[in-house]
Amino acid sequence: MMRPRFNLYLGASLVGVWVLVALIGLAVTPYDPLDMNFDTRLSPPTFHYWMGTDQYGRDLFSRVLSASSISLIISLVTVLIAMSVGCVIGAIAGYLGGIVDRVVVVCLDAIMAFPPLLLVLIFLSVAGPSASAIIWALGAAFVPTAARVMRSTVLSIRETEYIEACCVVGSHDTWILWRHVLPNCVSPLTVLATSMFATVLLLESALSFLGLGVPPPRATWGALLADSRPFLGQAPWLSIFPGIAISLALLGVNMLGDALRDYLDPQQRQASREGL
Amino acid sequence: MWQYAIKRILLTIPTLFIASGLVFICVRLLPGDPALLIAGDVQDEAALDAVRQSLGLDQPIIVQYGLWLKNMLSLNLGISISSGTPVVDLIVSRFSVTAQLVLIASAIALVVAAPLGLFAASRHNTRTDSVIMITSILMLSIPSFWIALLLILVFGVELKWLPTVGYVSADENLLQAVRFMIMPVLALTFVVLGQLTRMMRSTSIDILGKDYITHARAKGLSEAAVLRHHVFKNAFAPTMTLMGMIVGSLLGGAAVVETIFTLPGIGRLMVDSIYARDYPVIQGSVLLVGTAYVFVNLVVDLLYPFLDPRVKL
Amino acid sequence: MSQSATPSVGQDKANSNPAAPLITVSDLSIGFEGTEDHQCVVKNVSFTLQPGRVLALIGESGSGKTLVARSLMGLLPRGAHLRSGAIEFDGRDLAVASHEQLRSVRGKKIGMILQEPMVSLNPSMTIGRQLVEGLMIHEALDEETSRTRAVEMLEKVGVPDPLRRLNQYPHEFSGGMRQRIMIASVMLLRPDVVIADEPTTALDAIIQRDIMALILRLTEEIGASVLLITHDLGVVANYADDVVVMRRGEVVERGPAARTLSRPAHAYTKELLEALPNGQRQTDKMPLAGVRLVRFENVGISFPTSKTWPWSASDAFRAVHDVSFDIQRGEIVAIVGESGSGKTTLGRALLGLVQPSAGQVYFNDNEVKYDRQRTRNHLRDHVQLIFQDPYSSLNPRLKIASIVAEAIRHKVADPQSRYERAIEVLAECGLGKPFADRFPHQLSGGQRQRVCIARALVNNPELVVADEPVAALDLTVQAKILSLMKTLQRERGFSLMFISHDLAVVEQIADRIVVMKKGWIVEHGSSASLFAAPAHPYTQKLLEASPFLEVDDVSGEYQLKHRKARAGRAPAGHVFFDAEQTQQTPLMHPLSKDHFVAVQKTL
Repeated sequence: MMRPRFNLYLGASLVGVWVLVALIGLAVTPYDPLDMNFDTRLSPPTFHYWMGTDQYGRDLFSRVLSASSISLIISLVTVLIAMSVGCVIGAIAGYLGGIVDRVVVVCLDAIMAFPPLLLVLIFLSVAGPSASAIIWALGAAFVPTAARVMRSTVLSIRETEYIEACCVVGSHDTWILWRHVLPNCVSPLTVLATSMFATVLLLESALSFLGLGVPPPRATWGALLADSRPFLGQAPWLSIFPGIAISLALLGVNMLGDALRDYLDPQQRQASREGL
Repeated sequence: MWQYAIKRILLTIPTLFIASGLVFICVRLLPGDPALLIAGDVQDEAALDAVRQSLGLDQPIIVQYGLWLKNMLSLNLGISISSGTPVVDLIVSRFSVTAQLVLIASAIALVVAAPLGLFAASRHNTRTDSVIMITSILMLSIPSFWIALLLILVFGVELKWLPTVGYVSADENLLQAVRFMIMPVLALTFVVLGQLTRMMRSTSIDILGKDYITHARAKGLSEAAVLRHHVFKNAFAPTMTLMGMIVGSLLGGAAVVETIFTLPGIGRLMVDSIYARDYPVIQGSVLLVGTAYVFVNLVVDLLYPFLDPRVKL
Repeated sequence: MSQSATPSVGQDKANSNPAAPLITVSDLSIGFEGTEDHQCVVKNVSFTLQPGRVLALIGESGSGKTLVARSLMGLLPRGAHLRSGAIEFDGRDLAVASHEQLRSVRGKKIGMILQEPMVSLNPSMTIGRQLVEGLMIHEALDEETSRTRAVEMLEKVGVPDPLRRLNQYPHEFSGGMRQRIMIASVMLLRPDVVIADEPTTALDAIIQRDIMALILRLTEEIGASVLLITHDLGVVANYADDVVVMRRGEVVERGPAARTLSRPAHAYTKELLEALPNGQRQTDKMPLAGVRLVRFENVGISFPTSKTWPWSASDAFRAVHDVSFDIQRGEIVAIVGESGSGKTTLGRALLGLVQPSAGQVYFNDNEVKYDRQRTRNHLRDHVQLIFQDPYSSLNPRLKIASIVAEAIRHKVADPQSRYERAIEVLAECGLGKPFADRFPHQLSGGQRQRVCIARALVNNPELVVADEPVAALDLTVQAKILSLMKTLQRERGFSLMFISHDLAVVEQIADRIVVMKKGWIVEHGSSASLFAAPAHPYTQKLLEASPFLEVDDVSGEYQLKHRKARAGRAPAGHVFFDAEQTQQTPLMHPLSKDHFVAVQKTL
């Protein structure tokens, strides 16, 4: 089928470009993103300044580049934290069932009733804004989502016959969890990771936009958008380029996630297709 | 049937209970002394103590919680520290603005997305389908606050057709209210449309591969009739569930769009009140948003049996 | 392989008409997108369907028979296309017909009964609406008239209380009822051709005959031809006029049913026939030592159904009622019953996976209790299980050898010796060394079942519970797996509890048979006496449902026969136990030393 391949290629290339840019951006940018130059402030895109400059004369292109690394790192680490903690909770709840499961589900539901933005806001208000605080806050806000998905995956695997076969053969619970349940969780978890990555990136941009992101002068794309607001009429390029960057990054992750889902799902369906 | 409904409703109570407890604890964790914030630069301890006493902050935590629970159940949510107005009035008026915004945006998105997704599924593997699919992924990948900025840029600054900030209630002046709301609604609709179309499309594609569709076609039904009578209803149910989740999360999460357009919505209120350490408002608004989320999901769950008769338990 | 367009006329149909065939399929080839022409799943298939006759398309899985049937109506699944060939019907070539033309043919001229009644009806639409849909389109009738016709047809197919049930949803009906509704839906439009795609495969044995008879009766009434897709030779022998045998996408033999089944020309057809049970029982077994291994003593098993309120008492569904029997060392006992008989639950109780709510299960005179871990540790060396579904009982992510080796992990510490042990057992089960490092999805159904058997045997258990081990396999594969199990049992001497829904299959393997219905034992005894003189009407019905093959010594002709049992007589003052009612409990009446039947007092 052509569709998933297209998704895969475009999505993978966009994400690949982002990672590349982020890696490069860590090392070298055309201009120092913090370099202010009042002579060239608020100038539109030219040959020298590909994306124009902001109100302090800083090169927007360099700023966008360096923001890409920060956004990537924050989102990646957040997803790692949320998934590690969430998956453990979800696996325990799903596998043990009974009263443990009930209690966990009610607690998770209660936390999920609040918009993640809010949870992060409260966390940040307590801890103060900083890159690590943001990561922990975001990570904590997404633990319930990861736990819920892991729980339902484990529940459905637990009911399969090959798990029952393990019980009959006499394997211990920990062995079953480790050797049988977890490896079969890889596909749904991969899909979860990509969609969570997209949501985290979006949320992080929103936070920065509200002024609660990484403190200046280091900036993420959201902060760049926030800075551009007062100059919307004068220097529209300041709003356009960072927005394009966020959109392309999100597009890449979403497409990659879709392609992965298409790829992983039919494979499992194909395995039990016989006799037409 | 009623048993299912009541059971479902009863299940939400422990959730809400824990949620309110969480709110209470989190709010108390916030650093900063509200007494100081109100009293300002006053050095006098006695004066500060008086302020604290008037806010009830000198009581032990358990007592405060108990008091708050009691008040909450009788819908007395206190007085806003910053503005002095009763919290209940404040959050209700703000919430209605957000609710208007979110519900209108979601309704428009649903009305467009459902037939669009169905159409794309019927043209699966053709160029039309690819176009719709890519467009919807694009739409859900673009942050709503950027759309908002772009809309302001085009319609507010360049063309000067619409006002960029502010709000007029529909009761006062309908035409003006619409003018102020168009761009915020559009900004939200854009993203929701992408999400709902994608869901409707993928569910419809799944259904089109099922045996009962083959059976319908084998009876000689036209493709249009198959789509209308057999696919739509079954594909709509999960889409509606998704919409419920989106609405629920937007009710609290539209803070950024509200900030950009300076709409007096509850999201913006929450953000502002966290900055101001306005405890009663934080508690009240967060509680309201959480309750609304649970309520919306409840409504969706209760509507589900009408769409899928198999669900009856 | 004959390529004649008009096959020779069969002798059995009195009104056989050598006139123009209704459908002529010529050189049909079907392939999936993205594959070459030589990889077509259906290659050069040709046959004709005569008016008023029943043509059976026989084949196992992968033969392409369903694809051929679907292509007649232009309903191929996504990704499959007609590569070449023609389908002549009513003066038109359906292979190249437009969408509109196909639509006018579907339902009105050619109808199709699908295989899985559980998924072939729209779950969110009342059956009334689904029934009248077709009528309103093709005959432009108003709703009132259509509903009347629908009610009439529902009565005809045997759906009780049709007027009220028109407004119900599919999930409110059982599988058999749903299939009747599907048949009604097709017959309402009075098509010229009815394609029945394995219409009874998903149903219980006894219902299968009723449904098949219903289909044939109704099609004869309206004078329609039937294209019957099936792998069940018993059905073919009883109902088909002509036969086309397919294998791996090609036609290997065709002709009148009577001749083809009695004197098959092609080797594959012979293989299919010889895979049927042949009424022969094992006579070469050693007599048993008489040591009791397993004992079920008044075992009852209930499952709580979901509660309305968390605090209300839960209703219980009784899967098994008061079951008592023994299994001796080295004995093969077959538990036979349809779905809902409780046979699977009984097997699970023996393994300690389910807790009996009444009575006890004893293994080697120790009580078997349900326990997450402790019982398993004790039982795992003694009792093992072979599952029904070879697809879902193997972890798709583990290699074959690892799956088998896991069963001896607690006994053999060294991974290398475990691996070698696993390979030995796999070889015993017919899977050589190259299979050891493969994954389940790379194996066929029969091969996967061999892995399950190896896993069960690697630990040398004294008892193996086999839960419908061959039900999901093709006929030819079934025969091979059954013979493997017989050989292994003879060599290793374990006891076998063989659970099945097919009485004929167990005849060749079982020493004793226990027949269950709705959780009760209705009859049990030695294989010989039960087959010689089945007493309970339910046992007789089960027996009549499966055909067996007899080969004539002189002419070499194959004959498919069905057993006809004489009506048994209950002892004075009693009738045979009726498992449907709930008032009375059965008494076991001895018909002989090793043959018992359940009876109840006459009221």
